[in-house]
This record gives sequence, structure tokens and C-alpha cells, in this order.
Amino acid sequence: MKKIALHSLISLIVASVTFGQTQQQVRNRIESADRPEASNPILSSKKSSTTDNSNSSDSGAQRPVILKKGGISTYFGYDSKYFYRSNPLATDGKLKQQATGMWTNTFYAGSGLGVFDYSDSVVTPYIGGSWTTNEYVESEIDGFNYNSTGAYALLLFQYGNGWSARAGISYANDRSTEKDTEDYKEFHPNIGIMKSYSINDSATAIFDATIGRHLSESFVIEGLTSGTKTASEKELSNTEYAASYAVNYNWNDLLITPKYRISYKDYDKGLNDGRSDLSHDISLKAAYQITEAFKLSVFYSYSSRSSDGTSISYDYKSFDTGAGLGLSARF
Amino acid sequence: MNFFSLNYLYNAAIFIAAFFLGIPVYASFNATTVQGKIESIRDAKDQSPIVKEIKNDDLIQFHDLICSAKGSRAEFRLDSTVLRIGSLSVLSVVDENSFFLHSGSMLISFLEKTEIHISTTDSKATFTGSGTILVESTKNGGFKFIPFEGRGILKTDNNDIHEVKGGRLVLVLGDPSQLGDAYDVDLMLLIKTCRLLNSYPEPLETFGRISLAVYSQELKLKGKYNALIGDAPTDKNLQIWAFGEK
Repeated sequence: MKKIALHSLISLIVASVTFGQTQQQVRNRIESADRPEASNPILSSKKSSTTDNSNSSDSGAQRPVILKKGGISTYFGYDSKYFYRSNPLATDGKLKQQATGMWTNTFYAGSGLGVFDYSDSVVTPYIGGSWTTNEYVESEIDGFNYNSTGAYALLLFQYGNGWSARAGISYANDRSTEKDTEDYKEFHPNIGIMKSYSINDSATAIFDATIGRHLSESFVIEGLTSGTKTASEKELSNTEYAASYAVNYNWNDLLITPKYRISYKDYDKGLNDGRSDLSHDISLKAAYQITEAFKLSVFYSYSSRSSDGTSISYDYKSFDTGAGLGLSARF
Repeated sequence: MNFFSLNYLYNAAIFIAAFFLGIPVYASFNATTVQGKIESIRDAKDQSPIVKEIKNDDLIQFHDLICSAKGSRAEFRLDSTVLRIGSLSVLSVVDENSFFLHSGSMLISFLEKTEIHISTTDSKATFTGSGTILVESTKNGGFKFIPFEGRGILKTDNNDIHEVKGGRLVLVLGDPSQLGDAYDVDLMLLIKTCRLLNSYPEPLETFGRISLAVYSQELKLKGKYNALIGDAPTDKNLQIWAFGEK
């Protein structure tokens, strides 16, 4: 009887340790996951198709156009990326750990609900959503495959001096494809500002800053404690302050975009109470627009995170490099 | 003593002389940028008109006719209002809020809400609001009212009323004047090709608002016609020039 009980206890301990490790890895994966930003399809959809090969005159060329009544617009698209990720589970230590190929497929759609003049700005409300499949190529970690769902609603205020402000809320959800469990979900109310300006005829710089609260829920290993802290399903909740600077450089038919982003996250729930993360992301992307609706791209990105305030180290570094294709349409 | 100081002295001398000779002195405005040959013509009653070439910083009196040669243009400042005259144009500033365009084109830009009276040989209209307005005379004696950006109301004596929006061209025609058809025009193309906007060293103070109007139009854009709007030779005809594939 004792043997059975001991065996059961050992099995339970081994199982819980194994489960704990896997859970921790899933959590690491969750925290390193890229989620589509609501503003990306909105910003990328604002492209002028005006040709400028007309001759100048004092009163200019007066070409009639057709405008949509109310300014309601809709866009949808599909992005597929195949890339190498050096540290997919965001593990502390070396840059290259359980490196794998990844294939992601994103379907997205959204709508601009009108264009309104408000004081010295133009206001556009947007809603949209996306669904992404995330597959690891390496069989050792393909148990971590997951699908992401995202949705957002935001108000975008564009000002004449090039600044824009936004306020919105987004929702994100990760679901394991293997276990069909919801690993993570969050609501993310946020505000942000953005300034774009021309550096020269072929380059535009974009500065962005945002503050948001991630109201998260994820699975939790029940009963875990650390000092006075107890595990909580909300312990991935945090307040994030982030800023980025990017340059869109047109070179022949290529759009080259170097970008740097810095983020500071302040956690205040459960075992993560007192944790703070400082993350840096540097990326370089080159996109070739084959047609108005179809583009190819190659990219490289490097991410690092240093974390304080917890007994477990959440430091990690990783890089991605790969290629993607995108289809989009706008009405 | 540089050239600009001499100009100030010259203008001051004219004012002092006019004052002591009992000649009425009209309110004036000054030329801030002159490109090419711009002349002012002043009616001297029983004598032959006084013709003077306008230089930078010259003062021009209300009611003077301002004429531009081919390829010439100039900018004037009346308080906070900016007035630009296009090539091969003739205009007169009646008072600080009233402009008469005999021929050619002009641009008026003002940040604050103002009542602006615009007239041509046959037509006139009043714009109440703020904006950056391109005015182009037409052969029928009327004019095209083209706001790069603006908010307000355009009204004729005939009580025709039109809400002004950036990029919406309105024809003003006839006497008593009425408002003709309105057309949304490609603002980005207009900005790139309009020398009244882009051939000056200093951008207009309203440039931010113009950018916003372009942004707003881009969001609403559904399509573009392969055509350009031309002159209005009569009240019933408007030239439309087609281009591209038939």
C-alpha cells in the first residue's frame, strides 16, 4: 500500500514537474508571442495612388474623383510568413535554443466607420479582427502550436501637423491547437500618439508611443507561492509603456523599413507582483509590392528582454529571419 | 544701404508727398514675394494711369490693378490674409476682405473665420469661413472656387448656398450669380501641380490643414476619372479633357 502510495506520489511529483515545465514553457511562448497591432493594417492601407507626372500650372490639374459617401471603408487580407526563430520558447540563456522554423498564417479584416471632422483633426473609428495559425516546424515543440484571435476597436485622431492620437481597446486570445485549450486571453485598453514626417523625397520617419494596460488571464499552476505571493490567473497582467521609431525608405521598387522598439512592462498580480521587463526589438524589413494587392517581403528581427523582480528569470533573447507574402484588398 | 531699405524710403516718400499734396491715401498692403514681372496700375483720374513695377516689400494700394506677366507670380500680405497672384493674371484688392479677379488665377489663404467677397467681370460670391482658396476665372465671366482646405459657406446674391469642403470645386457663374455644378477634385494632384501653392519659398501657414484635407480625401476616395476639368466658355458648358484609355 505504501509502495502504491509512494509510486503515486512520485508519479504525481514527476507529472506535476513535467506539467509545470511545459506550462512554464507555454507561458514563456505566450509572453514572446507577436500579436498583430491594430494600427498596422490601418496605417498600411493609407496609400496614395496619385500619379504625379502632370505638368504644373498656376491653377494646377483639376482631376475629378469619386468619393464614398460617409467615408466608410473596408479592408481584408492574408499574410503568410515562413521564418527561422532561434529561441521560440523564450528561454533564458543562449540566443539559440530549440531553434525552429515557424509558419504563420494570418487572416484579417477591418472597417473604417466613417471620416469625421472634429476641431483641428479628422477622426476615424476603426473596428477589426484577425485570426492566426502558428505552427512550429520542429516536431519536438510542435505540441506548442497555437491559434491566435485578435479584435480591436479604436478611434484615430489625425492632426494637420503630422501627429495622430489614438484610443482603443483590443482583445487577444491564444488557443492550443493540440489540446484545444485557451492558454491566454487579454483585453488591452490603450492610448497612443504617432508622428510621421518626411526625411527626404524617398524616406518617411514614424515615431510612435503608447501606454496600455494588459488585462490578462492565463492558466495557473494552483497553489504555487513565493514568499507572500500566490499564483494568480491574472499574473500576466501588466501596464506597458512602449515607443518605436521606424523609417520607411523607398528604394527602387522596394520599401525598406528599419525599426527599433523599446518597451517597459510593470507587472502587479500574483507571483509576478513587482516584476518589470525591459524589452528591445530591432528589425529590418524589405517589401516588394508586386501588384496593388500582392506583396513579398523578407525580414530580420532581434528581440531581447531583461526582467527583474521575480525569482524565476524571464530574460531571453531571440532572432527571427524569413520571408512572407501578403494579399490585401480595400473597398 | 541695401535695395530693400531704398524701397521702404521710396514708399514712405510717396505717402508723405501724397499727404502734403492732398491726394487721398488709400489703405495698402505689401508684396512679400515677387517672381518675374508684376506691375501695378493706378487710375490717376484725368491723367494717364500710373504704372509701376512691383518689387519685394513694395506697398500696393487698394483698388490698384495688379498684373502679372507670363511665368510671373507674387505673394501679398493683408494682415493675416495671404494673397497670391498667378501667371498672366489681373486682379485688384478692393478692401482687405474683397478681391476682384479680372482674369487668370489667385489664391487666398486665411486661418481665422472671415467674410471674403470674391468677384470677377460677371459674377460674385461671398465666402464666410476660413480656408485656402484657389480662384480661377473662366471665359464666361464667372470663376471656379476651389478650396484646398476650408470650412464655411459660399453664398451668392441669388441666395445659392454651398457648404465648402476641401477639394470640392464649385462654379460661380452669371449675374446675378448662381452656383453651378460642384466636383470633387484630386487634391494630391492639385497640390503637386498648382504653382500658386508650391512655387513659393515659404509654405502657407495653412499647410497643415491642407495635409489634413488630403488625408481626409484619401480615406474617402473611391475612384478617379481619366479626365481633367478645363474652362467654362459659357454658363452651360464646362470643358472636360479626357485622357488615358478610351
